[in-house]
Parts: sequence; C-alpha cells; structure tokens
Amino acid sequence: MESVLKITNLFKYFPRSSKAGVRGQPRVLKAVDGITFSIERGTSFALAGESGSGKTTVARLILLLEKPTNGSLLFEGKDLGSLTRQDRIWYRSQVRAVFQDAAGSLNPRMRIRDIVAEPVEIQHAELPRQGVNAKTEEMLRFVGLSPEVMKNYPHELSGGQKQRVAIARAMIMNPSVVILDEPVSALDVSIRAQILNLLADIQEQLGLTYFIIAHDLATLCHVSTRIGIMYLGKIVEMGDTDELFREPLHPYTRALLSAMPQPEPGRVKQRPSLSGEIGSALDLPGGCRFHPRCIQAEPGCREMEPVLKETNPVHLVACHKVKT
Amino acid sequence: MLLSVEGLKTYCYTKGGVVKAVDGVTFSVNRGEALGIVGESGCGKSMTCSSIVRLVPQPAARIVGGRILFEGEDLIAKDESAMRQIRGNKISMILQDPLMSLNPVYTIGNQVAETFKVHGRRSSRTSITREVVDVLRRVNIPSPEQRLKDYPFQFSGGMRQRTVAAMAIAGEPKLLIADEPTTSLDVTVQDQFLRLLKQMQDQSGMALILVTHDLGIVAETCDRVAVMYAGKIVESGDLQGVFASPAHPYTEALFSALPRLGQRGKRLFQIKGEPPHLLHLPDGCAFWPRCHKVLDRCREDYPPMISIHEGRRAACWRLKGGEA
Amino acid sequence: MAFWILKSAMNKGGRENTIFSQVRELPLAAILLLLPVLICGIFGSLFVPHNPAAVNPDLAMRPPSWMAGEGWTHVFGTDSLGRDVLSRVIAGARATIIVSFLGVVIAGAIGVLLGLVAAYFGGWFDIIIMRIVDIQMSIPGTLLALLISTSLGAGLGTVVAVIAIVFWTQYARVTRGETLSVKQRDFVVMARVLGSPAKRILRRHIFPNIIDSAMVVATLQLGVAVMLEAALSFLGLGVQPPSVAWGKMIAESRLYIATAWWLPVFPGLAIMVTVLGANLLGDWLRDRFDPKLRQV
Repeated sequence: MESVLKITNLFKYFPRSSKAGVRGQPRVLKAVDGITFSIERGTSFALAGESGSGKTTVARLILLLEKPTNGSLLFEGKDLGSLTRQDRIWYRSQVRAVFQDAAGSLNPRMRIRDIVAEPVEIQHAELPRQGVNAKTEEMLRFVGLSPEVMKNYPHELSGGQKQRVAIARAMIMNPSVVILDEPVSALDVSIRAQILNLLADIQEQLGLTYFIIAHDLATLCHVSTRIGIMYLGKIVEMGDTDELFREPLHPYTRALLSAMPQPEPGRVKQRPSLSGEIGSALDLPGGCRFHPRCIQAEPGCREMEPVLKETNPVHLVACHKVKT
Repeated sequence: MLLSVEGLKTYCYTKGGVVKAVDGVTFSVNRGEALGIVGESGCGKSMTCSSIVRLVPQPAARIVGGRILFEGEDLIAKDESAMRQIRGNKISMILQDPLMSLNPVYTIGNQVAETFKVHGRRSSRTSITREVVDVLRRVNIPSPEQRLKDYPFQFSGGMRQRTVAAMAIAGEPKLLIADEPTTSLDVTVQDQFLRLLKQMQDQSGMALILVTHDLGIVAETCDRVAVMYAGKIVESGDLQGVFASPAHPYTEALFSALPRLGQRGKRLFQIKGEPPHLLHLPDGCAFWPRCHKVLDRCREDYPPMISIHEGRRAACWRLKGGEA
Repeated sequence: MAFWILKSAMNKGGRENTIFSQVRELPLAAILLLLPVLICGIFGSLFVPHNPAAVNPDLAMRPPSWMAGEGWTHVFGTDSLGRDVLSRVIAGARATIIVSFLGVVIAGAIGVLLGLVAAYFGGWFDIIIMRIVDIQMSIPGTLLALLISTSLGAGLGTVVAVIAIVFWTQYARVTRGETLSVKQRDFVVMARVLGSPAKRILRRHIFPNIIDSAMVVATLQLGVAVMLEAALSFLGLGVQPPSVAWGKMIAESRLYIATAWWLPVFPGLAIMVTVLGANLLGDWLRDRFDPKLRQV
C-alpha cells in the first residue's frame, strides 16, 4: 500500500518574544520537535496526546495553516512546501477537515445549504447552481440529515446535527484525506457512537484516509488502524492499534492507559501512574523529555534523548529502557 | 443521612415556555459517602447542584417544589443569610472550569486567604497565611509557600483546579459538590485530581456528590450512582449493582454505546435520536423515542420509580412485575 | 451594495425568527422620537404651514399664536424677520438628517473598511492604520472640525465631510477588535482550509459577523453627529441661507433669548428629541446584539 501522506523530520518552533530564558537565550516553543510518520491509503492514523503534545500543531501544518520550521510533508508524492497555485487549489480539494467544536466551525450567519456547498463553490466554481444544490442535497442525505435543513441556520440545529453538517462539508466532492480534530469529544455521550459509526461507514464507502487527533484513547482505539502517542512535541510510541494497546511499552503510554477511567468498578490501578505536571514545550528538560515524570527514570535518561526504534515492524518506541 | 433531596423541582421560565430543568428529583447522600450523578447535557444535573446550594439564577429559574433536607433542616425554607452561613462552611461546590472560578487579578494566596476571612476566622495575618499554606499542601500543591504570590495564569490547569478545591474545603464542609470538575483537564491530570478527591474524603470524612457524564469516573470514585435524563432520575443504586446489571434501558444503552479498548472495527451500539429539548418533551416516558425496549405503555404514562431491591430503583415500565 | 449591507444586518442567523417576536421587542420610545424627525426631513416640504424662507417684517417677533389667543397660525411663533419658526424647524430636519446620516454612513464605510484591512491582514497595514487612528484621536474633535470647515468653506457638503473625517476612527477601532476575534473562530479557519480567497472570507465570513457592532457605533454616533452639526451651524460654518439648520436658528436667536424665548427653545427641543431618539436606538441595538445576553 502506498502512503498518501508522508511526514519526515517535521519541526515547528514558535519564537516567544517575551523575557529571555534561563541562559539569556530567547525563548522558543518547540511545538513539534522532529516527528516522522506516514499514512497509507484507506487507513486511519491517529495522534494521541494531552495538551502541549503538539498534535494540533501537526494538523495545522498538514492543513497548510502554518509553515514548518523544518522537515518535509509529502502528499501523493508532492512536496507541500513547494506547491504551485494550481497545486494548492487541488490540495485543498483533496484534504479536508472536521474540527472539534461543531458550533464554532459553522458560520452563524450562513444557511446550512451555503455552508455545505462552500467547498464546491470555491474549488469547483464551474459547476452550475443546480448541480451544486444537487450535490449538497445528496451529501446531507449521506450523513443522515433531511435536505430540509438546507434552509436552516446553525443555531437551529442540535449538537449532533451540527457535527453532521460539518462532516457533510468535509466530504462533499470526495476528498481523499480528512483530518478529524477531536471529532466527538464535544458531543453528548449518547450521540458519540452515532457519529463514530457514521465516520466509519463513510470511510468505507468513499475509500477515505483519516488522520485523527484525539486525547481519548478508547475512541481512538475504536476508529484508528495505527496510533502515535505524542508527548511535548515528539512521538514516543507508535504502532498498530491492537498491538500498542495490548502491549504498551513506553511509560507514558502505560500511564495514559492506566489513568483513563474505565467503567469497571473495582479496577485496580497502578499506584500513582505519573508524578508532577505536564511539562512545557518552552522549557524542555535535558535528555528524555518525559524523564521528570517517569517512575522508571534512570540517570541515563537525563543525559540522552531516546530515539524512536522498532521493536517489531509495526511497533516503535523511544525509551532507553526498552530493548529493541 | 446527611442530605436528603425529596421531589426537588426547579423550573426555568424562558421566552419559549417553562423548562422543567429538575422535575421531581429524589436522592440522598450519607456521611462520608460519594454519590455520582451521571447524565448528559440538559439532563438537569447541574441545576440540581445549584438548587442544593440555592444558587439558582433567579428570576429566570426558581425552585418551585420539594425539600432539601441537610442535617435534618430544609434548605429551601432558609433565608439568604442562613444559606450564606451554610455555603462554604457546611456545603461547598467546585465547578467545571477552574479558570472561570478564579479571579485573574488576585494572587492565589490572596484568594485562598479570602475564603478563610469570609468564614469569619478572625485571626492575624500570619496565622491565616499559615492556614492557606496548609490547605494548599493538603491538595498536593508543591512548595505552597513559594506560590502564594503567583497569579492564576501562572498555574497549570490541574493546579488551578486543586486551588479551587482548596478554597472549597477551607471551611471544612461536610458535603462537597463537584460539578464536572475534571472535564477541562487532561486525562493524567484528571486522574491525579480524582485521587485527590478521594484523599480529601478519607482525611475529613466529608461526603461527595460528583456530577459527570463519564461513567468511568463514576466507577472509580463513587459508592453510589444516580442516572439522570430530561430532568428526572431514571435509575439509582449502589455502584456495583448498577454497573453489573443496569435496570433502565438508558443506562444500559449508555454502557453499550461506550467505545472500549480492544474492540476495534466493531460497530458501536448506537442510541438512536438525540437528547430531547426540554421544551418539547414527548408524552409518557421521556426516553421512549430512543428506547430499544419500548412498550406501548411507555408512550402514554411516565413510569414511577420502582424499587428493585435494597437501595436500587429505576423508573421503567418493564420493571413493573410481569410486564417484561 | 447598500442593499447587501442591509441584508447582512437583517440576517436572522443567531436570532429569533418570528415576525411577532421581533415586533414585540422594538424600541418604541426610540421610534416614536425618530420617526417624526425622519418624516419632516424627507417630506417636510409637503406640509410646512408657511414658506420657511418667506420674510414678513410686519409679523416679526410674534410669540406662539396659541399663547396669545390667536389660534394656530404660528404655532412656534415667528423670528426677527417674520419667518414662521415651526416651518423652519420642520425644514431644518432635512439638513440634520442628511448631514448626520450621510456623515455617519460615510464614516462607517471608511472606518469599517480600514478596520477590516488592519485586522485581517495585520503587519504593516495594521501598524500604519492604527497609528493614524491614534494620532487623529488625540486631536480634539471640535478643533479638527473647525480646521476642516474653515479650509473647505461653509456648506452642507463640508459638514458631511467633517463628520466623516472626525468619526471614522471609532469604527476602525471597534471593527478591528471584532475582526481580530472573529478571525480566530473555527469557521474562518475552515474557510482558509477550503482554500477560500481573502476577499471571499472577508465578504462572507468576517463582514456579516462584525457588522452588528458597527451598527451600534453608528446609532450612538448619530446623536453626536447631530450636535456637531448644530455646533458648526451655530458658528456659521454649516449650511448657508436659504437652507435652514437648527444650529443656525439657535445662533441667530442669541440676542433674543431673554425676550423671545421661543426662538432658541423650539430648535433646541428638536435637537434634543433627535439625539435622545438616536441614543435610545443605539442602546437598544447594543443590548440586542450583546452575545452575553443571549439566551442559553
């Protein structure tokens, strides 16, 4: 299978102009600090992590909302850093997004019909109005909404309906990749399953490739084929979902899994899985960036930063203590 | 029994009509125990909490019926100055967003000290400072003496929430109400905070009402649970019982619809429809349009609370002897 | 273009939908005050009891006729040249309306445009435009008004220009702030993700969402514009005869305040009614559009 999206050694640093850091150097927020991964056509790849992990920045880089400080992003073999104007328009039609807050991602002053039709009007301006309407109707039905909502405004719809509209907008005119940023975390629990099933159905029917960002491992486990766990800008563990959850190797992954509340009364948890607070990408510790919170930390962890290495072809870990 | 809520009714008077946010809710909390109230947005769980401390946003919303017996006395019958004595001292509350709960222009030390002063501790400045440091240490804030001059924005989300918790227990309350206290926190930070709540309970014997939409959190923190839907409690009982064999179809559906680890690729059980708009509740049982076990009777009459056995109750016609 | 702006503003997105509920909420007081002014301004020439410019030395300085028991011939009395005050008050509405509405609208157009550009494109645009705003706002408005009118000469057009130049900065500030915050919202980010060109984003996504605050500024400024016009007319820098303006009428009656009270009082009342109506309208609009007051 070929990779649709290939990210290599991606870096994104944000300079922070305020007071100088510890050694009198200007402070830099190392949001993404060197990551590499690729997504194969038709699969779902997820980046999981807590706040400050950098996963949102990765999504923004892929969506060309930010320029990388270094590294390469290849889409269908084309380098995203050197796209012609034609290429850009084509890229925009191929790679779409669904954001977390459905209400915020829909313009409150636009009718549903215009919201869903917007990608067509921008990227396929040659289509006549009737054609656009037809496609819009088709798409709304596809996501389980009645075409009657076309004349409504976002505030007249429920949360679940709004997210369906956002999904319709993302899928209209068949893109090839869809970036899903926390697609269900802002929804009521009883509707999450509906949307997750819908996303799975659509993926199958349209042959889409998904890139998902989330913090809820249970949801990710359900919808993604491969997962990368991020911490402070780096991927610390990556692999096939089943394998990763069956045998988590990195202490952070283990901590995340242990910290996740499970609806199983009486579950015995690892004694404090983590200490301290999530670090800051402004002030990274020396060596392994996770060592200040790691219960298995050794002196060596403070010196050298671990590199992502394979334990088997589908599982990679960045930890000094894991034999690869 | 520390708190006994009987038939509580809190209605909101809006332009569109009367919203029965809390419509005849009955439950109790014993000393030292942790009760979880589970439900989605709009089910009335937050309004129930506001009603207990009598901080319902008037005049739009009002408590219109029922009794709230705290240590034998009806809180609804009390006037505002009596309630002011109770709030913070006997019953305390933490809300979802710690950034909103803290005033950005005062230091942490100042705000925590304020809680002590408000509770009428007429002591010298040094002894209040000592108490502030003490309570901050109790909520596991590292080096509290050095953090008194920090402002809320300098604290991480987890530390802010812990500060709010410190302010809540400053008055040594007998009951702490926590309304979605970890929703805005990362999962590892959430884990720490929930452990803190348990620790606080162990240390002081205080009772806890934990309001959440997350069944996993309830499983790990609570002794008993009440499930709310559309302003009413639909099921309640001891934790083990409810989780092992939920009696109400809504509870059952919630469990089934949860994405779990290790279930990749399988289609999730989905609850059809959406949570109801409180202005347009159906006749009969509020859940019937979405219920996978609906009977004819459900469409006409609202089921009464039926006792299953010791302590466990649920409002479902299927439980009425012989109707299954 | 104007229709489109109006359409944007009337857009029901985000608000209640029924005609009935909207009528119920109308600011009655503001409408009752402003409607007569509007009618006089637009149709005044159709129903003036006398020719406002007709000079009649025999009838000079008559008090309001109903007070002297003479019926309703001169309801507001006459001035030193025998001209009917009521007719002149009605005629004066025209100047007021043209000048204040037109002035405020032009100021709005300039200010909103510059504010949008400054906030959306940032960088040098933002720096330069905001510095101009800062500099201009540090010059007292009246001084600025005087400088402009004396260099352009008196007249209706000058007053409109003065208002446009003095007032655009407030729009720019408010629009810039609103645009900065709307720019961050997800639906704008999404438009960028879809590859929408900047012009389209500004037109469809940003503009309809910031026009509310600009409209609030406009109505609140109406009152100030009316007063500024009156002040300029008072100083002789406003409209010239035979055009009538309330400020001018008050200026001309300076010498007679003690003897002929009706000469300054009626035009003064007219100004007050207009300014009050505009302010009430502005308050109502602001309350209505304040998102924090929206029902949960």
